[in-house]
Amino acid sequence: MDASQRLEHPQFAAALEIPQRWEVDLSGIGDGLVIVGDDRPWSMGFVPTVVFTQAPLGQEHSTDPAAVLDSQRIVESTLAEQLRDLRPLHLDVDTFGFLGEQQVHGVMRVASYTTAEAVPVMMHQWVARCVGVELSMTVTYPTVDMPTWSEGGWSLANTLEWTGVS
Amino acid sequence: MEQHSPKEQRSIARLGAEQLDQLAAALGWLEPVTVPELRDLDGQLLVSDGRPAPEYDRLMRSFSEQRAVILVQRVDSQGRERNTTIRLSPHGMLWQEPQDDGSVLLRGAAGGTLYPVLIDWMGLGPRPAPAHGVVPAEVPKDLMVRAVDFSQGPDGPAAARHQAAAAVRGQSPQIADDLEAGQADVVVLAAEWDDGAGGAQARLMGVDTPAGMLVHSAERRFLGEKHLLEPAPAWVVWHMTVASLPGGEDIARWGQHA
Repeated sequence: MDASQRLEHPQFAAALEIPQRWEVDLSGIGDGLVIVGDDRPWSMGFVPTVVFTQAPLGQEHSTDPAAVLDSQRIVESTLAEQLRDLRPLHLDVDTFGFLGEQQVHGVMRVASYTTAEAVPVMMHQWVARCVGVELSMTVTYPTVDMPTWSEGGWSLANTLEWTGVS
Repeated sequence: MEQHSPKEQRSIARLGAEQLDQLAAALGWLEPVTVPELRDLDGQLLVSDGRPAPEYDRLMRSFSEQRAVILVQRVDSQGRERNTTIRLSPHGMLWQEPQDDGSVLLRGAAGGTLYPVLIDWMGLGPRPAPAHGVVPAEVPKDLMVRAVDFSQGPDGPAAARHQAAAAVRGQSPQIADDLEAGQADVVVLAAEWDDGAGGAQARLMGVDTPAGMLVHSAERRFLGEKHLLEPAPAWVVWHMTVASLPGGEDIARWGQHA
């Protein structure tokens, strides 16, 4: 196994182990944005990224995965307008990390699309509501590299720890 | 860098079955013969003086310099088929869309278009995910072949689908119900390509129903093979598809030898 680093920050509601060589950009954490990327391009010059978005939950937001799924179904229709050649492949309830020993349930989306630079990519996205925030994690990599990356993304989603914002 | 004719490249041609054979002949496949001129059904000049017309240079090169051929077949319970042949070359890709009138649309695009085209022809999309930890069901070796073989009438495929339903009922009663109700398409992908080492082949078979997908696999045993059907999310079927096709190294190598 490659050397790893721990991605964590007092304002970031989760923590996880990522490969040592990955580059971390926490400059957007004030706006709930954390961007992690490999330090080298994969196929077609595309640098795989893992992007986290985090937003505080209001009173009206249920943490029930079914409610998250409903809201993501609405997102699904707007994604098609934003992403070229979008082909949704999966949208269903799934687990997204742990809170202590407990698995957290949210939603997983998988889709194929083409970037503005004409690179066919895969998007694996997990969204869940826990510890007072809605957190999403989106892993994007060139489709041709799917044999390597789809398990890597899955592994990140299943080792993430929900820590809460301190 | 790719060398293209300065002429603006056309990426679509509509051909009859006979013209498709003539085109293959003109491009040096089959028995090479001289085809002085060939027009598509819309009157566009594809071949003149025995060579591809300049506007079709790239489309024709995808044909004549192909490095991979991928066949996609989707067959419903009535035997209705939706098939395409995709060819990959260092110059891009080309695929055939059969039309209702018996003609064929030849379409060209950049190589990256392979993925959305494959997803569309395989008919993949979000399906209910199966329960975790389901054990695959063992099925007879020829079950999937029988499920799409309508050459002796509809009874054989119908029996194969009932057999598949019985086999997977314990794994997914919903998928079994869809199979019984004729709400199941068989998806077959077969590919052959230049892997730089004598050629590679891949084959993938699955069943797609509104209740979810089943993927077929063969497990090598000490004596013979064990054939399995198991529920899988559509994205996992897609993962298996991408993993079974030419990879980045193959595609990069094709570009070097173009």
